[in-house]
Amino acid sequence: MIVPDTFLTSTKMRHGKPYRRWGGPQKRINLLRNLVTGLVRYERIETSMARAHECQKYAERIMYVAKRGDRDPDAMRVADFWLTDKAQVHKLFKVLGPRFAQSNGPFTKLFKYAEPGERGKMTAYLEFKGNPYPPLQPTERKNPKWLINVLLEGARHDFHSSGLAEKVDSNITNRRDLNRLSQSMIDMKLTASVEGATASVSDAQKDNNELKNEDGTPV
Amino acid sequence: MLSAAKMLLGQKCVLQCLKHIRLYRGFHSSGSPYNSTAIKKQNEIFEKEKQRQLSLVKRIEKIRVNHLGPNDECSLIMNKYLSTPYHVAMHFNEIYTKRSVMAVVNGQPWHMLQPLVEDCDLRFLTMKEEEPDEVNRVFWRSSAHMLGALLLDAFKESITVVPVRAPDIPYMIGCFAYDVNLSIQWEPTRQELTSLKRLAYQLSEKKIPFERLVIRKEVAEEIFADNVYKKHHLENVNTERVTLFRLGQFIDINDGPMVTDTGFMVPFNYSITKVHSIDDYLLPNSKLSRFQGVALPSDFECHHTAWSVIEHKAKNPVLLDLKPDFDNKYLPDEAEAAS
Repeated sequence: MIVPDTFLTSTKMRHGKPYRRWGGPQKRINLLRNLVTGLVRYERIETSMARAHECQKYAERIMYVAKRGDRDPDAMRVADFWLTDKAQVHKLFKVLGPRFAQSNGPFTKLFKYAEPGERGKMTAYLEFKGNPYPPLQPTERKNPKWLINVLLEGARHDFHSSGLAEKVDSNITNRRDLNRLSQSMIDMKLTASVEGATASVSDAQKDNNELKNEDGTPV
Repeated sequence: MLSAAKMLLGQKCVLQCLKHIRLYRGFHSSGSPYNSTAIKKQNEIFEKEKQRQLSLVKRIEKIRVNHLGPNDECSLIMNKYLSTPYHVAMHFNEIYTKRSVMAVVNGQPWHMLQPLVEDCDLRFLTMKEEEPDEVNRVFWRSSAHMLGALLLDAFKESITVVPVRAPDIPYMIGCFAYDVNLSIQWEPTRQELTSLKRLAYQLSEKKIPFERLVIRKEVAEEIFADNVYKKHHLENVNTERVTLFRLGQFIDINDGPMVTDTGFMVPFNYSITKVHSIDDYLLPNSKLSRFQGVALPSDFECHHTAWSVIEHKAKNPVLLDLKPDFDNKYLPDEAEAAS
């Protein structure tokens, strides 16, 4: 979890209230509107960790609105409220909406890239997926010929050729358990070897589609 | 090392394995027994020969070495017959010395501690190559050699361990092995295998180099005077010179190349998984013990669940390459396909 750095504006404990207050509802909304507008315009923004983390929730929500299309009056009203620069309304419905038509989210990525400095603020990048900029993190290298993958592939092959799955099948009536066992053997993702990774990705932002491996390699 | 090993294996374990003795199928060579004095003698000859070869380099000549890596392309002036690829790596970065499994010199696979002899193009290979078949085999060969080295120290003086050979088992099978002639019949318990694993742990912590030496056959015969298996091997090979590798006190005939040092093996990802008997190809009325193990290089992090899966596979007794093959009839890939 991300540790919020500007949670407390008063000395009271704020149990169960995860949102930052930032000097009252109106100030907070104005700040967030500007952040969301900037994100829609530039598709990647650099700001403090607290602001990026807060803005991310609203950026996700506004994409669901954008996917409803510009013919929906409710969607248009919400977009009109959140985007202070009205030129971005067109971009939201015509560019970002169609881009994520097939996706159910998450649509954004958050990268924390520096520790708190003098002013106690962590810097972060917030971006929409599919943006035209070069990637912030290096791509993962995977090779089924690496030693660990060859050994695991051999073990997996042994498991399937041993007939253990069929033997279990006759004893277990619950078909779903067997499928899950079989699937977990196939999807065994154990370690991710990121070469020289500098930024840490928020766990919540990992796309389910990315976890699935194309060539069936566990590393 | 020896005393520490004894402490680890402990009196209890050895007593336990003495209980299991059914027959002494001892080592019946006419030579002297294979013990610490024999090992000491071997090492003295090895060291003497190494010093002699070094002393032959009277005048230091220079060679030009072109490094063709993906990074740090440059050419260096190095010493002929003295500088090794390891020294070349030291000019760039510590990472090069730690991650380079082997070098490719003028297209030939080259041990990292093998002196360069001419002007050459040099490239370093890591475990994470695009085509890692060669480096995987190098790692597997070194792991088997290390298994032989730790077996030499693992037992008490009363138990004779004669190293026989490292069978050529392809890494696709999932385990490497080393054959030894033990003077007892030993069925190790899980605790005893763990004790052996701890020896591997110590060995890989120490980062002992794999030393390479090419010597004449007569010197090799002198080194292996006490070992009938090695003598048999030397009688049957046709070449004038043989390549030896030494790890700590343990010397074995191997063409190599191997990894630089034992630091390449992760301490907790090196296991001895199975010990079983195979037929002795040389001496009648005798059996060899095949020690199987599995290891991973430090480049790969492995979750303990995945490691247990790999370990479990290595527990199957493998009966490949049971005797040495001097005519090159044995092909590991075909043997794998047949099995």
